[in-house]
Amino acid sequence: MEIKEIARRVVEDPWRGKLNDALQLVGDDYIGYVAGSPEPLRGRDGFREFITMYLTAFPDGAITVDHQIAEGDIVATRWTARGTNTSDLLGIPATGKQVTIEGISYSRITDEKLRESWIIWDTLSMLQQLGVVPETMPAGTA
Amino acid sequence: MFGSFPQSRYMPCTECGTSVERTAAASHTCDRERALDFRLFQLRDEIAAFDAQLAAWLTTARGRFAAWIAERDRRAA
Repeated sequence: MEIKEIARRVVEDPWRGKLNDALQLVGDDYIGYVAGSPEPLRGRDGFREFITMYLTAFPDGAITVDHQIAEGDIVATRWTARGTNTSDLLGIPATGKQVTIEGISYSRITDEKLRESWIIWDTLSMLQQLGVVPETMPAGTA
Repeated sequence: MFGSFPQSRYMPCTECGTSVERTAAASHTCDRERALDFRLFQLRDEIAAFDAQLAAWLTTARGRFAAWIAERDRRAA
């Protein structure tokens, strides 16, 4: 399978009820660096735990891949996620609000397995959409 | 560079909770069913508490009397 296709499936499939299929594409030695997370995700369990947290908070969620670029064993995937927050997330009570979040996953894939990824997404926007942080805050007041 | 923190490109509609792109906010119209679901979700704790509150009230003298009146009216109808 082409590395772009693997990267796309890893991003989209968990949100299509195919988490186990996506996990088949994750290497045992996988390490995931998520912007804002102090500890990396490790192995399939780390990947599963991370995705499940968001699948629980946004059960109707879906991710669409907007664009991909591949070079060597690296794929950059720009994606848009949309879902309704009907369960608590990281201590934030469920809001019932639908959010749209944009992000980029930068993945290293060898032997048809995801080995490493760097996931960067618009956390501030998500928190603004959930109403956890104010929409606008003048600079210098934080 | 910024006069304020960046603003989200999308925000949920305050009436129905649907994610709306800012540039399309003026033309957004709420789906009535979604707006109702959103309102019910926001009131979920109160709705869940209502049954317990009603059951407790029905055990009071006022509650028992109201239930008796209601049952009498139902039979007469």
